[in-house]
Amino acid sequence: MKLLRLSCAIFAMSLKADLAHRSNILFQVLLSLAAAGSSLITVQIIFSRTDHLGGWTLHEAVILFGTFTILGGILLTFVEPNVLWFHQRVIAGQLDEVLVKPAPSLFLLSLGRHAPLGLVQAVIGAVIVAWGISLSGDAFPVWRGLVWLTLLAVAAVITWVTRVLVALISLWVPGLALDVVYDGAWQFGRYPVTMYRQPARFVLTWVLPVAFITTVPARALTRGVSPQLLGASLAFGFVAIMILRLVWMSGLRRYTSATS
Amino acid sequence: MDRTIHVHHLSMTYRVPVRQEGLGAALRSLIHRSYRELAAVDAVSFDLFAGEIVGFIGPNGAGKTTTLKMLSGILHPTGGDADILGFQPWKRQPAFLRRIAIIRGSQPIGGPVELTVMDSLRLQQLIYDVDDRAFKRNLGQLNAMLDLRTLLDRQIRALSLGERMRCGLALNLIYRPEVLFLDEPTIGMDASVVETTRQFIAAYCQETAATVLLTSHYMADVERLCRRVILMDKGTVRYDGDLRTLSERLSPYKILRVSLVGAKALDLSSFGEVDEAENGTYDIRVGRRDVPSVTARLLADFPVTDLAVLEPPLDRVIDRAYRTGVA
Repeated sequence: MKLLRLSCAIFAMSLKADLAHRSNILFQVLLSLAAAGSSLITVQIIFSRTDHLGGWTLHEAVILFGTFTILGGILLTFVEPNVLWFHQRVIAGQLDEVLVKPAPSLFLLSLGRHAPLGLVQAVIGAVIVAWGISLSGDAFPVWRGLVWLTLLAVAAVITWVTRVLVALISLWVPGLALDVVYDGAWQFGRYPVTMYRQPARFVLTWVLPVAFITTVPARALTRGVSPQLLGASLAFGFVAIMILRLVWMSGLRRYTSATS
Repeated sequence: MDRTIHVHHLSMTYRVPVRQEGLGAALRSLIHRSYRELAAVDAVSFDLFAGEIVGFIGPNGAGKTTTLKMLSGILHPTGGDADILGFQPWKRQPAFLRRIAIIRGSQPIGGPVELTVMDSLRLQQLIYDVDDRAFKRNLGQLNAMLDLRTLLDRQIRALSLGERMRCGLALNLIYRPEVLFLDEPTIGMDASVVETTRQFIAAYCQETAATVLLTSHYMADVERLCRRVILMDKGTVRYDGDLRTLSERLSPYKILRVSLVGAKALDLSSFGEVDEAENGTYDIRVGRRDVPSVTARLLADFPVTDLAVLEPPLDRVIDRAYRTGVA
């Protein structure tokens, strides 16, 4: 409950700070629209040559891309402000500030700063999903929407875990910044994993779990998923959190702070 | 007095990689790495009691900051034990963290800089579970002592260093910690901010009976705030006791500052070593035991307009302690 109150307070304060700069809002909207627009044009070009992409139709691919955009917005809003150039914070000893506060250090470290303007991207993603649904021309049962929302929440958790895990590597190798590498891997999520051949598909499912982040939630909305896959996704999310906790506790033992 | 901090044989040893110079040695170290044990803090022991402000001094690399970080729970020691308010610091229990604060002059505010000072204070209120009534009361008191009125609605990123320190103190004291670790609290500040900060620390401790462990390279901070000092060097405690006693032990002399009628230069070397002479005012080094007799002779032999007996500057005393050690 305390963490929820803290999150709400941090978000409200960050939003207040962001709203003070009108030009930032305008640029964020324009950038998000340009990024989403160019990607959608790419999808349209691909489907002008074929009816299926890895077994996915046009409207399904649009829904998948919308899901990907929503998660990108969540990543940008809640996670990136905390972990971007994380290795520099490790080197400068700036983890001290979260270690002396009476709240879970992992929470403060990885979710303690927000950039609310990133949610513009998430809203655009939601609009794209709605457009994909309208393209299908079919009626979508409500339960599919609920399962999609549940899997979207799991995907957000997995996104948070993987991004923070990548950042925490700098506790072992302080000079290593893998931000760009993560961003590159993240881009695989805009297309269905069935598009890739083995062993890339295996890697994108179990090593860089792009499948659980975008493909599975989008599949839940377009065709539904089996209870087994839903359960596996929930279990995967839970295991991911446990792994993150273990890695954080282990990495913390290596943290030596910095001199004054 | 209640004991608030008990430190027993606290140690921190780092395993640091070493290699010989040259490219060959660098290549060999890829396969066969050599390490050396480096004791940053070596079996340090001391006690602090409620309401004490203790100077924690020593040259760079003495182990002061490492000790503070272990006592505030940031670092896990490699040996020894510590008890602060009944807690082992490195377990970082919320009940412990709510009762301590570590304030670093080099980084007085650690949180998001785009927030206003008031928003940051509200965030602290939530994190430290301060109820509204206590928050308003504490903020009122801090406001009176630190004059925060014009700063509360400003973004932290736009504050000057002095303003950041004032706000950093407010952020760390809004929940009324009982133990303060102050690491170079006046570093880089101008003279007026330094004095304000010192006055504030003294006033806060007097009002709340907080226990303070203060590191500073400015001996004026230590002289102004601390009766007791712990002197560290190479990771060990070299002296723990009264500041005046340390001064007496290391400086077996006092300074007689005497002003004489007329600006004509006089030879006063028969009274002691003359440190400085300017416009008829002389600083003469005199052995502690000889002060009464030399004072009497000066008063009898010269037309004295002013005379003061001073302790030697603490900076020189401590410098001597760093260079030659404490006997």
